[in-house]
Order: sequence, then C-alpha cells, then structure tokens
Amino acid sequence: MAQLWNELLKTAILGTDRKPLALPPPEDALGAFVAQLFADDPAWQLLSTAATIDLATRAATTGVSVLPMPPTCPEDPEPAASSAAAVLLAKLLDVQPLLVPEFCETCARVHRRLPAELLPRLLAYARKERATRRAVDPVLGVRGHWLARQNPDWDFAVGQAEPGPVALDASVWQTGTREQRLRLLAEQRARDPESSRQLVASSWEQEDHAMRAEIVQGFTAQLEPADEPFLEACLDDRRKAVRAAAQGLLARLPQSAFAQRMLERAMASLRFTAKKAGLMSRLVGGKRTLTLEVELPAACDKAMARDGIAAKVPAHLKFGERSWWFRQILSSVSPSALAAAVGIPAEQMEQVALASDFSKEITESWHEAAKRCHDADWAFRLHQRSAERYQDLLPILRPEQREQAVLSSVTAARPADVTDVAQQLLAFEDTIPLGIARAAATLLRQAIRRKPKNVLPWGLPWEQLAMRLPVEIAAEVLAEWPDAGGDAEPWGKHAGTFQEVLQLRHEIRQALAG
Amino acid sequence: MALTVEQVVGMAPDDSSVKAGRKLSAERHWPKLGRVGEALWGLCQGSGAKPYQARVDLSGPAWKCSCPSRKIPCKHSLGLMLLYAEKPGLFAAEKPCDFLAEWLADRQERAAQKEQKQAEKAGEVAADPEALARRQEAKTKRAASREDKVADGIAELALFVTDLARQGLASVAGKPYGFWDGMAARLVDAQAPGLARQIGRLGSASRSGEGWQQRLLRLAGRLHLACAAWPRINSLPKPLRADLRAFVGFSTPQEEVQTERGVPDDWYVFAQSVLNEDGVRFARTWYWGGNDQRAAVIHQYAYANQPLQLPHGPGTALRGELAFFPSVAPWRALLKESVSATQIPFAPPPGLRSLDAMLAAFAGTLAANPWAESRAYLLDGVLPLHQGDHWQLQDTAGIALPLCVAGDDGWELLSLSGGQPLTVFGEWDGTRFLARAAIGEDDRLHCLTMPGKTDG
Repeated sequence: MAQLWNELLKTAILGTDRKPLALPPPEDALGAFVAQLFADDPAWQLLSTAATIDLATRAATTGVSVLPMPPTCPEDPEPAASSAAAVLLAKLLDVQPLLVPEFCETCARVHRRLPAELLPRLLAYARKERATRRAVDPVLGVRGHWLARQNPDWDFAVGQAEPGPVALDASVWQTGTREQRLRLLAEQRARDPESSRQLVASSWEQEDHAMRAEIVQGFTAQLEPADEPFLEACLDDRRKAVRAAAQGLLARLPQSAFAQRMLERAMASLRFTAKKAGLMSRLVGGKRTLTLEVELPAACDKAMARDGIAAKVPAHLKFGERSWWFRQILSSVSPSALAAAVGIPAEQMEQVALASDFSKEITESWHEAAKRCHDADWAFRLHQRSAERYQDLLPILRPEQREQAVLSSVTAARPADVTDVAQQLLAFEDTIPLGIARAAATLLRQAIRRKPKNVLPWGLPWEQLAMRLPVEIAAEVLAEWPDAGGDAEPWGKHAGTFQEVLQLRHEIRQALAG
Repeated sequence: MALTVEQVVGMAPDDSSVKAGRKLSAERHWPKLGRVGEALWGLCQGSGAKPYQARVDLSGPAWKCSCPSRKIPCKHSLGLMLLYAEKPGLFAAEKPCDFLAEWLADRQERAAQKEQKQAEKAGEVAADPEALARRQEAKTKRAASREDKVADGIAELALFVTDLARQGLASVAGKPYGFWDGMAARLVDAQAPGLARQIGRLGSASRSGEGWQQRLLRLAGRLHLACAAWPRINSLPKPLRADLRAFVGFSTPQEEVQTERGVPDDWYVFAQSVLNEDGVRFARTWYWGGNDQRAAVIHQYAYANQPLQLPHGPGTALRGELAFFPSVAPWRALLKESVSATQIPFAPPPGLRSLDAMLAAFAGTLAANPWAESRAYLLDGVLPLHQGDHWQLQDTAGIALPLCVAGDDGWELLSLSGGQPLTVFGEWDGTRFLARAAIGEDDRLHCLTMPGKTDG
C-alpha cells in the first residue's frame, strides 16, 4: 500500500498532465480494486485511487509503539489538597502569579499534595520564574518530581527538594567573571567566613583596584572581628576606594585597633569636667553635673590620614579646618562606645554635649556616627525623638527596636503621612509585625475615607503592602475596608488591588487550613 | 443548583475570555449581586461610570450583559458565573432585581410568541387546505431550485478538483487564500455550504507545513468521491443518501429529526467546544452513552448576539433520549424533546477497552459512510507516551496511535496518568487521536482543550 500511495503522491504533485500515473502491479485486493478504476481518464483515476486509499488507510490503521514507556510513578503518601485549593491555584496562576509562592509555602506547611493536572502549569511557571523554584519544589510531590524527569525543560525540579541553589565550584575564583567571583565570595562568607578570607588572600596581589574595592565591600555581610587583620592591611592600599571601604567596615568593629585609635582621638578633643565633683557625691553615686569643653585637633597627622581623615575641607562645606577634622573623628566613633569610655550614661553625655559651645558639630557628627558605626542604641534614641528627621537610621535598628519605632510613628501618623508610613513599613522585608500592620491598616482606611483625591498618592506601594501584611489579620482588615470608588478612580483601582491581593491571601489560608 | 468552575470554563468562547472572567471573579468587582431560582445577576463596576448589568440564566444557559462586548458569554457573565461556582453563598437566594426580571420576562414572552406563531402557522395552514397546497408547492419549488443550483455547483467543483489533479498539487502551493475562498464562495452561492467548508480545509492543508501534499491529496480524494457520487445519488441506499447530502450541506430540519425514534441511555457529557467564525458561533457537545458505549455530538449555531443555548456542560450526565440525524452510522444528534431527561451524577461510565476496538468501530463507520470525518470514543486503559513534542496513545495490548494534543495538554495527560493507564475521551479521524478530556483523580472529569484553542 505504501508503494502505491507513493506513486500516487508523485503524480499528484506534478499533475497527471505532466506525469502519467504508473500503478505498480497489484499486490493485494486493494491493488486489484484500484487497478480497474477509470483507467481511461487519468485525473479521475488519480482522484478515485486517492479516495480509495485514503479510506482504506484510515480504516486499517494499526499502530505499534516505538516510544519508550515512562516508569510508573510511585504512590504519594500525602493527602490531596481540597478541590477548593486546586481551583484557587489555577486562578492564581492565571491572574495573580505573584501569590503562587505563598500558596506553595502554605501548602507545603500543611503537607498537602496538588492535583496532577495542575503540575505541568506549575512547572512551566517555576521554569519561567527562577526565584520561585524553592517555594514550588516541595509541593510538586512525588508526582511532580516524576513528571519533571520526563521533560528536559523541567530539569531544575528533578531532584527531591534541593536545599537551595547549586553552590558554585571553587575554581570559579580563578576562572569566573567578576559577578560569578563575587557571588562565590558571598556564598563562601555565608557558609564559612574563614575559608572566604583564605580565598581572598590567595589572589589578593593579582587583583586590580576596582576588584579589590568590591571584594572589601563583600566583607560587609557577616562582618566579624576575625576580619580585622585583612581590613587593617587594606588601610595601606594605594587606592582610596579600597581604603575607604575598609575604614567603613573597621568603624563597625568596636574592638578593632582602628576604632580604638579613633576613640582615643575623640577622647583627646573632648574634656568632660565635673562642676561640683565633691568626693561625697562621687562615693554615693549621686549625679554629677558635667560640662564639656572641646579642644579641636591641632593637626592632621599621617596616622590620621591613614585612618581616612581628610586634611582638606571639601569646597562645598564651609567648615574650619580643625572643625572639619574634629567632625570626621567624631563621626567614626560609636557614640555609645564613647559614653562607655568616658564612663557616663549615654543620655547624660548627649545633654552635656547639647549644652556645649560645639553642640551643632557634635550632634551632627553623632547622627553620622550612629549610621557609620551601626550604633543601634544611639540610633533608636534619635529615632524616638523624631521619626521623620532620623528616618535614615531605621535600617540599622535591631528588629525589636525597629518594630517599636515604626509602631510609635505609625500610631502617631495622620492620614496625610501615609506615604512616609508606607516607606517605613517596607523596611520590613518579610512580614509586617502584627501591631504595626493593624495600626497601618487603620491609617490606610482613614486615608481612603478622607478626600482620597487630595491625600492618596497613586504611587503608594499598595501591592507590596498587601503582600507583607500578616495574613491572619486579612479578614478583619477586609471586613472594614471602605469602598474606594472602584476602578473608575485611579486610587480606587490601587486600593482595589490591595483588597484583592489580601483577599486572595486570605483565601489561600482558608483553602489550606489544617 | 451546583455549578463547577470547569463547567463555566467550558462555556467560555475562548481562552482570553476565561482569563478576563477569572480577573472579574473577585468579590470586590460585584458591589451588588443576587439570584432568583437558576438566574444570576450582578452589577460589575467597569471603567465607565455606569456599572455593567450582567445576567445569567443557568437553566438555558443564556446570558445578557449591558457591556459592548460581542463575545457570548462576555467576561462579566463569565466572572459572575465563576464567582457563583466558587462562592455560591454570596448569592442571596430569591433576591430579585429589575433588570433581571425584565430580561427573564422578555425571554419568556419571546419563547411564548415563537410557540404561538408556530401554533398559529400550523393552525392556519391546517385550516386552509388551499394555503397548505400553495405552501407545499412553493416549498417544492424552492427545493427543486436548490437541487439545480447544488448540481451546478458540484459540476463546477468536479472541474476544480480534476484541474487540481491534472495540473498537480505543486501548482497550488503558496496560492493566496483568495484562490480557495473564491471557489468556497461560489459553493456557498450554490447552496452547498458543506462543500464550501471542505474547500476551506483544502486551503488550510495547502499551507500546513511538512506533509501538506499528502493531506491535500486525501481531502481532494474525498471531495472527488462526493462529486462523482452526486449525479448517481438516487442509486445509493437511502441512509447513505442522507450522509452524502449532509456532507454537501443539506441539513435535515430539526423537527424531522425529532420524529426519529429516540435512543435511550445514560448520556455523559465529556467535552464541549465553541468556535467563533465570522460572527457565527458553532458549538459542539460530545456525549458518551454509558450502556451502548457509543458517542454522539450535538451541534448548535448562533448568529451575532444570539445566545448559544448549550444543553449541558462537561462533567454532567443525564438519563434521557437522543434523536439521531438520519445516517448509515448515526452520529449527530439532538436531545429528544418529547422525553424528559433527568440529571444523574457523573460517575465515569465504561469505555472501549482497547485501541483495536476503536479502530474496528471506526472502520465500520467508514465502510458504511465514506464521508465520515471523525468519531469520538471513550478509551479505558490508555497511556500517553512522548518523545519531544511527538505524542502517542498506547493501550495495554501495546497498540499505539498518534496523539494530537494542544499546548501543555500532553503533559497534563501524562501527569494525570502517573505512568499508569487512564481513561481518555477524544476524536479519532483515522490518522490521529485528538484528546479532549480525561478522567483524573477521584473520577473527576478533566477537560483538556480549551474551547477554540486547537479546533479549526
């Protein structure tokens, strides 16, 4: 039959006018049948034969597999997720893929297996959204991992729940690109800081200056006292960028020789004297009344220059030379460490400083120092005083301090401050703490209820806020969510997005409860 | 009444409507909504000042919305149904509203009018034997004139196909659509729409990539068979005459089909597809008879904004009768109106147990009706296999046939199977199996092809 069909096709392509049909001698009943079809009219003969063979082949198809059988997928012991959960995941993949990782994480927590028909879509999603793979992997289950092995596109999911991205090979340090090398350094530091220092030392002499500066910056993560010798050595580097990076990190290590030198310089300029430092009062621990006198540094010596103190006043700053040196020294000493060294409480030190002739220089420098030296306690006190003025200190606070600071500023905020508040809320990279979230939701509701046109800026990060609100308060927030006017108003649309994201997160929680 | 998300998805005219509908299926888009019996209504706040009024009559189903979209159902109706499927509790029962009541009343009135008109017509005609004779005469005349036109059209088509054979398939490679459209239009004028559709398929085959010559030759052969048979149609057995006439484009009036004897069975709805072509929506619903193990298809057409009255959604089942269009191998059907059907739960019925059984059944169909295109089958115990993008369906006896799947459907089938044989529903045309649905976990029906995604 195949030979017959091939002959037929050859003639059909060129046409019976050009290539007359030459039927092979009949082999079977079909051949014999077509042999007697309209031999007098070539076109009819061709078409009738084609019709006959078309019917015969379609009626007589038989097939034998040539493809490999897949191995059978083992049973999955985990119970199936509810059909409501399956419907919800299909919906998220369609309209709000942003929430798919949250769905997967929640699903993994309650140990539920996803319905098989959704796995290909989930794998396709994870293939496109590399960052979501860690969240997706655990819920793929036995069936999902089995399926991934059948499709090379899904190679990333073939293993059983990988513990994160594949580690880079150490040879990358010798042969990799700049980015790869820096990534390797970051990974090494996270795993084993000591080996990361050895890695750096192994090639330091060959590094160009730009790379050296980047490497020093790489020490920011997991900074520890053992990094000091390397950083101290960097102070003698020929490039300013390398020195500056090392100085910044050393300032954050209060026990470092660098910090001690700066502290000594600061102490030399500051003289705290007791007004009525009677022996009795000192013995009973009574409060002393102190005054502060400042003696500006007389010169900027070589050692100071090595520690990063610039001798020349930058043109845009209208400071005196000695005042400039003084500011730089003070900005490099953690104020809390300074108070401890002087032996008086931090608050008292600040009060005394405010009363001095140099109060402006000192307070400005201490603001700078809190940031530079990561002095969380000092920063917290400043932030308590004015959240607005010291907003830049928020990132260096300890988590519990940050919570308290943001809570008090959110509670005190007016609807008009909603943009500032939103920025502060985004300082929480994961979930906004419960109390703050409640206060923020109240503020958002007030802002919507009040003339939204004047108060609500379009650019408020609604979606991010809705993603970071703790899901356990979703129901209460949604219950009291005001009508923002629907999609007809730009802010209404944004407020609606917030509502929708929160609603979906609530549904995820509900669908996967227990 | 219970409505599932899959059923709603099955009603959507296309994929993008499903997506848009899903977006609108959030509570916040529907400040007001309600339900009266099997009718839903809702106000959807769109970008305009006035909210859209969406209404759905699930008993139809039928839809109406005040939005300007020409899709039926529109995204608002879909969103409303999806919301109902997910959260029926939101729809307070017996909460009427004016625009819903108006629409329902309007529909009732129109239905009543139609009935009355028909009754009147029948009454009038019956009352007046002269009018009856006149009408009969006019009808015969119209029919005769159509027969003439069709005969002329077929003669022209025969010439067209013979020319194709004489000048070679290579001569039409890369011909513009206009070349085929011209012939198709002449056949439409000749009142042979079935043949016009076949010309459209010839055109698509001529640009279908590798192997196009084979596909074109097969289709040309089938057309030639019709052209050659037409002048001698009266020599064919009567039911085969109906098949040839159906292939050409004559349709048997529904009233006539309704007089056929009904075939009782438990009819399971396995798939549905709605195609939108030049303003005509063409819906197909595939049924599988649980007792007789045979499939049937119901075709429906709707023009412009006419609602499509889809009988049942995939995943439902009824105990009732279907009336088949006359054919040597009955296939296309209607719900028998004189017999009341009852809904029964969808518990997957047994299907054919091997691919050989399907091949034998299809060979029988082709032997009886050479113009048969494809037939649907429910297959038990088959396994999807693949190599790259190439898919096969294999049964437990080791027989394998080419499997045609759209997008990620092959992977969905494979995932549902877990490497074990499963139950698949689809169409076999003699060369490939187009999978449309499969039975997944917990005996749930899983529809594969989205309406409008792969058909054509």
